[in-house]
Amino acid sequence: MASVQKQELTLFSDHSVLAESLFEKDVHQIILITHKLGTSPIWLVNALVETLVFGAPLTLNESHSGAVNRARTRTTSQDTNRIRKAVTIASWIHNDEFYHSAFGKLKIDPSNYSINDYLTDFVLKNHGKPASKVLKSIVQELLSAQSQTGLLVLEQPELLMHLLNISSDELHLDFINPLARAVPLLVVVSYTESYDNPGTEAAEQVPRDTVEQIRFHTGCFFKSIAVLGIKPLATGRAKDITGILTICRGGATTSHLPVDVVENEYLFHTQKDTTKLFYR
Amino acid sequence: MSFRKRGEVLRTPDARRFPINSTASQRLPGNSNVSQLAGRMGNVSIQDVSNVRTATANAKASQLDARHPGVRPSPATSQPSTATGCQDLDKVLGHMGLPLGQSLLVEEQSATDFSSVLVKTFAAQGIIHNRTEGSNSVGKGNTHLVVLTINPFFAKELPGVYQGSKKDVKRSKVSNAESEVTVQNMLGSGTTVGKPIPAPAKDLKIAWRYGLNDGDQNKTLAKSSDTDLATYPNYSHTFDITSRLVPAPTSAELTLISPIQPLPAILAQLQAVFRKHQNKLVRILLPNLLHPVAYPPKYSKLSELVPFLHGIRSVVKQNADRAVLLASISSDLHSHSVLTMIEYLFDSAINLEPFPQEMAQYLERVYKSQPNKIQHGLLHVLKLPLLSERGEMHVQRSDYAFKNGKKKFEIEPWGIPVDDSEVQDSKNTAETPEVHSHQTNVNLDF
Repeated sequence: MASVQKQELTLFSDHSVLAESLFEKDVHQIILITHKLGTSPIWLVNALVETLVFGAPLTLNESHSGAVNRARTRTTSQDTNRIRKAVTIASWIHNDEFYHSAFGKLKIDPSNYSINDYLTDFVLKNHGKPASKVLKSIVQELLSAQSQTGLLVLEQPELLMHLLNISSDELHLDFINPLARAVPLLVVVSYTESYDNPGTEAAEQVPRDTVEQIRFHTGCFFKSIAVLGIKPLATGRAKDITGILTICRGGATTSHLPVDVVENEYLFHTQKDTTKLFYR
Repeated sequence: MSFRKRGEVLRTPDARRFPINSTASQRLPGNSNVSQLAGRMGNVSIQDVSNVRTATANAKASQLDARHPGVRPSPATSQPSTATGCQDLDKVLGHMGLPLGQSLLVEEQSATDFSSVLVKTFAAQGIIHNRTEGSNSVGKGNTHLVVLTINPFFAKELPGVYQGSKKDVKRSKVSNAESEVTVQNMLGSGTTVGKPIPAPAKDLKIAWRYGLNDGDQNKTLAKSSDTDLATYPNYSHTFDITSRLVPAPTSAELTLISPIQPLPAILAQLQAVFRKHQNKLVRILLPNLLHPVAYPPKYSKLSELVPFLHGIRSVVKQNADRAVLLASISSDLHSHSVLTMIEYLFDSAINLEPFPQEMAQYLERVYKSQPNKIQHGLLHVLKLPLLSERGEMHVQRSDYAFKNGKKKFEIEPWGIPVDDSEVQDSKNTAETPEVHSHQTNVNLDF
């Protein structure tokens, strides 16, 4: 595998991971990241955050120490004319410790990001409260956290449907849409194991919960300009390959942008803290 | 003057029982008190107590003792991990245990109940850790167990520590009986009462010629060769599922929470346990999660189930430096979407798939002469703690097989054994046409 050429991650036609034009005034986009059992999207979220903070995904294709060195040089000689945009992470499955340690390893300065932990005490604080109120307060919290937020990552927002007992339409209307209108780039990270594998229920009656989940994912897909799908190899576990990253266009148009989404498929290998990309 | 029966114990050194691994149970009364006292004095001095108090007052309240017998660093990530009660499962998890702050889901297909063995050994292991430190540790202790169940007798159903084969048990009983200070023993030993002789030396006065009394030394050598066992002697134990843990855990060691209560009440009770048992490792157990007998039907809806599991996950993550969670679930009872959601809310998951009848019969036939080798099912790994979270792919289906025995729940790499009788049959069938062709060849030549 050592002889196989590593590949740079490219999402847009200007050979960038996050094109500068995405962050222009009055432009709002959604990117959907889907993942399945056996793969975790943390490396991809890291890559997006690094791209926003350092200008490039430094840890991809690099040994960990090499990436840290590069990050250090980047931060010291960081071009001052580059507008520093902050990242906000909101997670319903991981607590703030998880992201602090992940970003700490990447040497990202804590002033560049803020983390909203909606795992700790979420149920105790909000159980039995009216859903619309809770959603409103979360939206306010997220938007007031950083006025300069360039990238807002929502990890597993679909859990809100079950935590607050609401439909996917309510979640889209009262939560995803207001956030998407407020930040330049919204990244929705979602777990789609049950979406792709309806199992034995396919021919039978699909439960309401599953229908709502599928509706939520479909809604996100149509609103996104790009969909980054991560899944393990169909053949099962391999020593030198973790899974496949598929980049495809979403339902939203990119005609108002000067760049296009480059559809592509990569193989990736995650080991310890490093991820390497290869062409399929 | 008082009269005592010949077999009556004159002075019990300690009424409480310890696990067999504990050296305290095998000590003689004469030196045991002294050594125990010395041990305690060595561990806790007056100065230490005051230091501990100030430290706990100043530092974060929930800090585990570094000398906790049930915690060791993971060889993979150096994260502190605790034993699950099944050594093979510890290995499969990749950390020689379950890392603190992590949760494990044990799914089981079909109608068998192998997962209950893992659940009970997990519980019993926590109790044994709690009792490792000495007689007065029941009140103080280092580990607490929380079980969400409606079964009030859960504590009485836990397995005891495996005490060796029947012969070993008999031998230890005899040596225990002889080491007790009874009238009979005093008469038998004559003047040597004041100077107690080590039990093995007394038992095997003649056998030294044959090297039999070197057994203990050999044992210690074997132990020391196993570095893990030497470094973490009380980390993991072997349990005998046919025996019971004696004495059964009390409310000081175990808290039962009924899952039928409203969710805020369950979470409040769980948090109260963490507040009450500061500086203790808390092992949370959810046996038979969503079993219709214990859980109301509303839990089949994700809108009830997700807040329940999300709340418990939140409590575990809040106390990530001293909490672990194990749950078992019957996967056939629930729909795919519910199971997928449950798996997602746990950090690690394994699936037990018992063999169908044909496969079980095949294995019985193949291992006719070695019944100990018969496996009972396949173990699929779905997620591993910490490793899967950071992005590594660890879905391993049909890589491992498990077998359940009296003393061990074993997990080993799976390979379909070859049936010798079939091989012989096929050889015979393969050989016969050769013979014919040979014959025809011969015929043709002539």
